[in-house]
Amino acid sequence: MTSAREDLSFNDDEEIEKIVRIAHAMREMGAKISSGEIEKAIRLYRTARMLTHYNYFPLSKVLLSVFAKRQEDVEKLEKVLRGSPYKRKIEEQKKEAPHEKRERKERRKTTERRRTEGYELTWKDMEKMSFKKLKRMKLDTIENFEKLNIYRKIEMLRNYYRTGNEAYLELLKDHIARASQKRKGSYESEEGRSLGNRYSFIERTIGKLAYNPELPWALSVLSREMGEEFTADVIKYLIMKGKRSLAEQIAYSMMNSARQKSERGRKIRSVQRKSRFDVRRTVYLTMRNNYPVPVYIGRIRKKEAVLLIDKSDSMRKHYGKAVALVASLYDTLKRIYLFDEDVKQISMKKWHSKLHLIEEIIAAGTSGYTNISRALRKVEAALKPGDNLIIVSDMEQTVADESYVHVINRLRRKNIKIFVYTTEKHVNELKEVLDAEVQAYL
Amino acid sequence: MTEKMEEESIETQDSIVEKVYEIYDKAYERMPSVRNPREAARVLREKYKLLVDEDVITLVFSSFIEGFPVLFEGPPGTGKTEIGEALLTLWAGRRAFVLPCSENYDEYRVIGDFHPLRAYKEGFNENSFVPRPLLASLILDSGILIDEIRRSSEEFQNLLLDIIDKRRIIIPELKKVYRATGEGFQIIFTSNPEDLAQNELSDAFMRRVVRITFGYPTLNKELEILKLRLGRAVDLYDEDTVLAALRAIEEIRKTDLLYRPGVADSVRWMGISARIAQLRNHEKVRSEDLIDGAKATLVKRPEEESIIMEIVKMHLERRV
Repeated sequence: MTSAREDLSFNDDEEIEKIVRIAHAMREMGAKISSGEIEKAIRLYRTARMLTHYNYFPLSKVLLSVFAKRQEDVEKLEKVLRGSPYKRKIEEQKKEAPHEKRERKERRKTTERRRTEGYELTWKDMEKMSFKKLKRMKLDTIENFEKLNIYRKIEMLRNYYRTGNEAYLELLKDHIARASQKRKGSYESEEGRSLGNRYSFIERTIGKLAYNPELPWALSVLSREMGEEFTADVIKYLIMKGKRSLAEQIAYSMMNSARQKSERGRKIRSVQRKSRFDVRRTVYLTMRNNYPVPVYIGRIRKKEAVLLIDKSDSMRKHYGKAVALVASLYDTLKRIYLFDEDVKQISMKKWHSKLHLIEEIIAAGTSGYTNISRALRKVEAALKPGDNLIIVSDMEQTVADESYVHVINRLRRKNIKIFVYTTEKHVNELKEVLDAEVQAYL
Repeated sequence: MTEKMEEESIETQDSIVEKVYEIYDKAYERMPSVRNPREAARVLREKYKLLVDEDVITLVFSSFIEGFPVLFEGPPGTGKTEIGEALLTLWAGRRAFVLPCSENYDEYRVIGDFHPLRAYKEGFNENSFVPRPLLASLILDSGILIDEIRRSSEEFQNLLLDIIDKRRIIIPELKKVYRATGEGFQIIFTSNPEDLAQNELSDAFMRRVVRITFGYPTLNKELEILKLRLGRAVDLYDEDTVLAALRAIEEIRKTDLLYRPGVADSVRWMGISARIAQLRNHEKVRSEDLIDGAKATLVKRPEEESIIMEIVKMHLERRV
């Protein structure tokens, strides 16, 4: 049986080339297709053909199953399979390939020539140059590095004289100090460790910690570097980053805790623990959200609010406020929906920053009619008793449907707390129409 | 005979394996395995009363051979769960496990946890360990269908990714590793991407699975499914009546109602309407029987009743 199957002609190379070409065309259109997925498609196609009686299986079905992860991928795949301009593009690319190869070779030759012939950097070259670029252009000689260093220092000095801004002078001092420190030795070695470098190292480690508070190596480095001074260093770091009020809060809490520890007995310490700062989490959330988020031990806020934002045309004036609201409520939000006549859910992943979310909401833009009732009905399925629903809308329904007051009351009967953020014009109206528990804000 | 001997030898090896056989073996009994797509399509049609495209079966079985898990995506009522369960059963030769997901699922609920009282008395050991479906399916070498995967948390999905990749489950508390012994242990996920109240699937997850989409069938195919599912009750219908009812269903699916009927709903509607007609001593199913049946089966939300009934009545009247 197997030998018979093996006998059936299966031109591997041709099929593989076809699948790879389609994958590349889709990649060009923005689809994320990994090499693993290409391999998966090839293997699956081969097996599917072997399983069928006539040694034939439609390739499109395999590609649809492997390459199309979302609806937009399906459209891209269909375009490629239809032999759209992309097919032509692939053909053209194929033809152009040798030419490109030749160009690339020439480019490489010139860079090599530069290097071997001792190409000299001019003052004008320096303007657009960086250390990375030097490396990339294969001009990474010690002489060129020094030249670039000197150029940068002179630029700082020139900027100081031009603008009179003392920060440039500070920058220059720091630059010179760092250079001298480097000559002395690494900041990680005992001799070479200066206060400035130690803080820059701590800053970088805290920076890492700010993106993942449980990062093991960062934690171990911090504990090794600072021992019990962690909180003090965090305070200094926060001040440096302009989060003075939060730093003061932490310092005040630490002072209080230290005083109480010395004054009172052990029993009270456990009670005090609850009002103490979780310094690590505080730094994490502050860095991530770029605004102060104090977190106390044993008091982590749960994400339990669902936000429904009106993105219809009538919200054009107020959309900025809606975005600001998202920013301020970010920590408590479980899900976000945008609606006009239809409802769209905004993806909220753990690794998405606040900025990403805001960018996505702004990108959605304001357009379409308003159908609040429909949006509420759709979101209803996602709500559980005890959830909080925040509606940001001008509450002007422009599509004929049942009254949203009925839907809101129905949601309230399900024990869902509703908060309405609306325009000044409608606040009083809403307070009259809706139940007392429904709150309307400006 | 040899199978029995194998089982016996396994049982003597490990107390957890023994426990799995004790708990799950009877509930998920052995069946003849079918791994030929054409034969499987026939068995699905005759035994399970499911009309499945042979290409879909071929793709699923190819994925199993290559060791890729499968994701069935589509709107509710298109037979994803039923087809998935049947395919896994046919492939493994043992009734498949079905795990309906929820947000608070974790490894303790799917792999196994410790009986609290026993653990208190005897400690966290093999005696107090209770194996759960995922571990059981791996040990029994049977398929597992993880239903509505989008409802589960990200942590749970990541846990599954590891098991899918390595085809093994680690129980750190017992310092034990269980590996899939045969080809029978396969996973099918189902999900409805249109549902709003759920999480998204990560790119890492989507990269690992073979995605097969299900949609609503064409009119002719749905008619064929009805005939297959209803059996003799089809005789109570005129062909015009069935077609009118199916057109009504088709139109309801095009609206933006929250609950749109699937194939399962149309089968249920026709079945119940036929029963109503029988109880009323009607020779053939009449419009009023279908309307009463529609009220009972198609209307899931009171606010949508008027729209649904209007569409149904319109199509049934047009037939007259």
